Amino acid sequence: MSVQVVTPTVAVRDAAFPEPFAPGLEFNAPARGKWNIVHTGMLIPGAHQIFVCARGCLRGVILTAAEMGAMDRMSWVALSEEDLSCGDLEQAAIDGVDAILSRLERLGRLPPIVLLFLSCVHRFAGFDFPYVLRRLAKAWPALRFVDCYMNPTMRKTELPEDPTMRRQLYAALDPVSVLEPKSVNLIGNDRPTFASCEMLHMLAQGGFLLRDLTLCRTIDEYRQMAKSSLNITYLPEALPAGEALEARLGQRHLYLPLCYDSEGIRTNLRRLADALELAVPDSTAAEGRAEAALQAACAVIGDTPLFLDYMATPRPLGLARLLLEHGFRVETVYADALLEEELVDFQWLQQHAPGLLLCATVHPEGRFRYHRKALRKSLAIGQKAAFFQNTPHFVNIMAGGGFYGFDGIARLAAAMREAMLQEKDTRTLIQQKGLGCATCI
Amino acid sequence: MLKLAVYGKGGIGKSTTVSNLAVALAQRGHRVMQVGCDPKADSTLALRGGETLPTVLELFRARQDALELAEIARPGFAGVVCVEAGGPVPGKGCAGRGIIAALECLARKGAYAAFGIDIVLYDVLGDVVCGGFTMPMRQGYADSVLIMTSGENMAIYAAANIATAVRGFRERDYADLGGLILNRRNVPDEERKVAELAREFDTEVLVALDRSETVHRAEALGKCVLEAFPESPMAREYRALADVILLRLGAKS
Repeated sequence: MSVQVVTPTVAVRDAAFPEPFAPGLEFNAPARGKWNIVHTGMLIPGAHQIFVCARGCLRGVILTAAEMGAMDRMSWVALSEEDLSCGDLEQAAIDGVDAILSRLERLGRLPPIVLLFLSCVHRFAGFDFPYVLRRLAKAWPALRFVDCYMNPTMRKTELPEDPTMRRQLYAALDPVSVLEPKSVNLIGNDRPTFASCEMLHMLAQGGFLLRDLTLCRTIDEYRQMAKSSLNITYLPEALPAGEALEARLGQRHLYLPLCYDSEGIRTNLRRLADALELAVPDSTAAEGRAEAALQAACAVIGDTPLFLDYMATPRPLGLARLLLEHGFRVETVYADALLEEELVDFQWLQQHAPGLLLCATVHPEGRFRYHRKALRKSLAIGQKAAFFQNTPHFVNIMAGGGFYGFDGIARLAAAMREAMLQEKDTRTLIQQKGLGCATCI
Repeated sequence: MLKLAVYGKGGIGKSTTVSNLAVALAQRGHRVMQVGCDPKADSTLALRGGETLPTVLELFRARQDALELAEIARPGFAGVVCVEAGGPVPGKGCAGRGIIAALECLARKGAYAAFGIDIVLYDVLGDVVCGGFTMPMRQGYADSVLIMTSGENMAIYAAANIATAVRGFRERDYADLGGLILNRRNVPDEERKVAELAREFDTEVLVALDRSETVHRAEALGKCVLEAFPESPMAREYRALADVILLRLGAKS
C-alpha cells in the first residue's frame, strides 16, 4: 500500500490514492484562474451580493468584484471586535443589510435576489442564519434572500465553499406546480458548454428546451429554471446542487460526469437517452472527429512534453490516459488530490505509465519554481501547469472549458494544436482571477 | 419528539436530576436521549455505571464526518441513549463553540431519527455565558427550557440570568420557558424565593425535589437513584417529575 509523500512530486506507480501528498505548509500559486464565490454568485442576473465579515476578509472579494467591473452589485457590512465580544451578530447583520437595501431602494436599484454571505466568525459564534433570513424576508417581502458562505476555515472539514456556492445559486428557485417534461437544465457550471457536443445535440434533436444559468440574461430566465423536469450535472462540484434541487423541487438529477474515455462518453449518452426516452444517438462520427483531431494535434506536438493540471479539468488522469493512448508524451499531472471517480484511470496509469509524475501545486517548493526559467519547450493544459512550467504554450481552460463528450475532445485537441503553434502571454493571462467570468475572458 | 434543555447554576444537580428523569421517562415507555452539553463530559456517568463516554468533539476531531452514530451515542441504563458533546481542555479553546459543533454534528448525522428518539434531554453547563450555550434553545433543538435552582442566592441569580436569556430570544421563536425545578438545599425562605422568581418570569415551579442522602449514596455506586434505589422516596420524586413534565409539556411533542 502506498503512503502519502511529503515531497512535491511522486511517480504515479508509488502514489497513494486519492490523496498522494501529506498535508502541511501550503503555497498558493499566483495562477488562480478558478472562479471564487463572488464570480459564481454574479451568474444570477441582477443578484446583489452582501458580505458580512471583518475588513481584512473583505479585501479579496471586493477586489474580485472590482476586477469584474461589478462593484455596483456588491456591498458589505464590516464587523468589528465589539460585534463579537459584546454585541449581537445577528442584529448587526440585519441592520447592515437593511441600511444597504434602503439605500438601493432610494436609488431605484433594489435587486430581486440578495446573496448574503457570512464568514468564519459567524460560524464560530454559532450565528443563527435562519433567524436572520426570516427577519429580512419579513422586512423585504419582495426580495429573495439566499444564505451564502465564505468559510475558508471549513475548506477541508465540511462541504467546501465552491460546491456550496454552486448549490446556493439555485436556492432562490421556487417550486412550480407542474414540471415541464420537455425542459432540461444543465446546472453547476460556471461557463456554457459548447452546443455542438453530442449531449446537447441530442437534447435539441429530441425537442428539449435547455436552460443553463450561464446563458441566462434576465432574472425571469433564471426563475424559469424551476420548471425543468431534469437537472444534468457533469462537474463533481455541481453534485450537491443537483441533489438539493431533486429534494426541494422534485426535479430529477442525472450526474453525467465529464470524462475522456469512449465507453464513459457513450454511457453518459445512453443514460440520458434512457432518462428522457430518446433513441441513443450514433456517436461514431463524433468519435471519428475526436480521433482525427487528436491525430492532427499529435502530428504538430510530437514529442513535446505535456503538463496537465486539475484546475483545467476535474479528470486530469483520464485526460492523461487519453493523450498517452494517442501517442502524446504526458510528463506530469499537477494535482493536489484526485477524485475517487478517477480510480480506474489511476490504476491504468500505474500499469501503463508508471513513471508519470504527480506534482502538488500547494507544496512550498512551488514558490521557487515561479522564478525558474523554462528549461525546454513544453505544452501545458491549464493555468497552473503553465505557471509552473513557465511556458508560453498552453491551453487556457478551466473546469473542463465547456468541452464535453467526443466534441469536447476534438475541441480540446484543436486547442492543444493551436497552443503549440501560437505562443501566449502567460503572465498576463494567468494573473487575472476568474477565467471566463464576465470581464475576464 | 419532545426536546427539553435543562439549565441551572453549576453544581445545582442538573446531571443527577436529568439522568434520573431520563430513566423515569424511559421506564414510562419513551425512547430517551440524554445529551450532555458540558466540556467535562460527565452528564451521563450515572447512566453508565460511572463509565465515561468518548465525546462527539473528540471523535469528530479524529474521524471527521466518517464517524458513525454508534460511536457517539451509547446505551445507558433503561435504554437511555447517552451522548456527551464534550469540549476543549479547561482554559483552552471555546466551550460554546464546542457545543455548537457537537449539536450540529448530531443533527447532520440524523441522530434523533436513527435511534427512534421521542424525548431528548439536553443537560447544559452552568450559566448562559456565551452564544454557544444558547444553541440548545434554538429552533430545531429544544422546545422548552427547564431551569433548576435552589433557594440559594447564587442559584437564583443564575436562574434569573438564564430566564432573561430565554425571554430575550422569544421573538426568535426559540425554546420557551417550561418551568423551574426546585432542588432543595433547605435554606431559609427557599420556597418563597423560588416562587417569586417563577412569578417574575411568568412561569411556575414544576416540582420541588427534596435534599436526600439517597442521591449521594447512588452517586457513590456510580448509578442513578432509579437504578440503585428504585423503591426509595427520592426515586418516587423523580418519577413524579417525569409525570409532571409529560403532563405539562408532553403536548409539545
